[in-house]
Amino acid sequence: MKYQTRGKYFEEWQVGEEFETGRRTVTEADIVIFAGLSGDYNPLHTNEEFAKKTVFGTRVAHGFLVHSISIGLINQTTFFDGTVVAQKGHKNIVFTKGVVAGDTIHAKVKIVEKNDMGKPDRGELVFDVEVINQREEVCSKSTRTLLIKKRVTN
Amino acid sequence: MGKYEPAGKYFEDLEVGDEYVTMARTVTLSDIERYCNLAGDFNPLYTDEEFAKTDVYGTRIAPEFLVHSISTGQVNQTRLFEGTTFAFVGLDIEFVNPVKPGDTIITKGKLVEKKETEKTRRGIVNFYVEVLNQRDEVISKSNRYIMLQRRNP
Repeated sequence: MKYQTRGKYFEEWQVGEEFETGRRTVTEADIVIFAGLSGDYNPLHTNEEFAKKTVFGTRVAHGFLVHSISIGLINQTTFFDGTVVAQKGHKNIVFTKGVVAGDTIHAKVKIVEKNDMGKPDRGELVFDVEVINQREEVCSKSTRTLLIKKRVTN
Repeated sequence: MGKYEPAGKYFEDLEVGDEYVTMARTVTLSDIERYCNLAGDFNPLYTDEEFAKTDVYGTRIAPEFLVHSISTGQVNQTRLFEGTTFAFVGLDIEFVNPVKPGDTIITKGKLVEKKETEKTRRGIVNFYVEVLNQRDEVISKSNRYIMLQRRNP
């Protein structure tokens, strides 16, 4: 048996289509690993005594850790398995609520635009993402543009 | 010995046109593996060398948000916003070229806009930022909006 990619091709997405990802609990370990990996040791993320005195009351996860986890959760749905040509860009990324260790987050995705681009092998897919915590609060929002394969070439 | 003093600049200290350049950092396969494990993102472009050899870049590439995260770390290490950042406001980013394992990246930013907020204790700065590789090719272009504290609210 050969591995069959399971992702949706450009033609199979509809504007207005929505889906949700699975959930993941963010931990202190995630925050510590991300600080090391990125080199971002802002005390908001790494100094509990400092963070206690901020609006968050405790260390918060880096916004781009939350963003990266949301990309992982979206990819784990396998809707993009083998069908992404490239990421073009993300716009209006905002972090509206701090995520702290112990919070459980997931992503809600809505397709907002499809651009054929006139190319035989790829099209542009644009979707809005909300990252939501266990209290149904929106922690971050963004609009993401990907180049997706067209089925024609496969 | 003295108390620790954050080194960041306040809203008033910055002027449109101010620029920064960070230290460089070589992005490694180890960075890519750790990021993919952390994010739970196993896109074969990043994780499957046999697949990547046959695809457009010819080798595994670094995930775009690994590169961006390293870039934010580089900016942090300049201490330019240390202790004076009130909040991250927003980011628009465009991915131009991939980063391959062994590439060395640097981040350069230029202040393009300053905006006062209603609450006069803060102001928003908009930096246009480019991440570049060792061949001076642009990896990404972004506008990064940060809310800074004022020295004199």
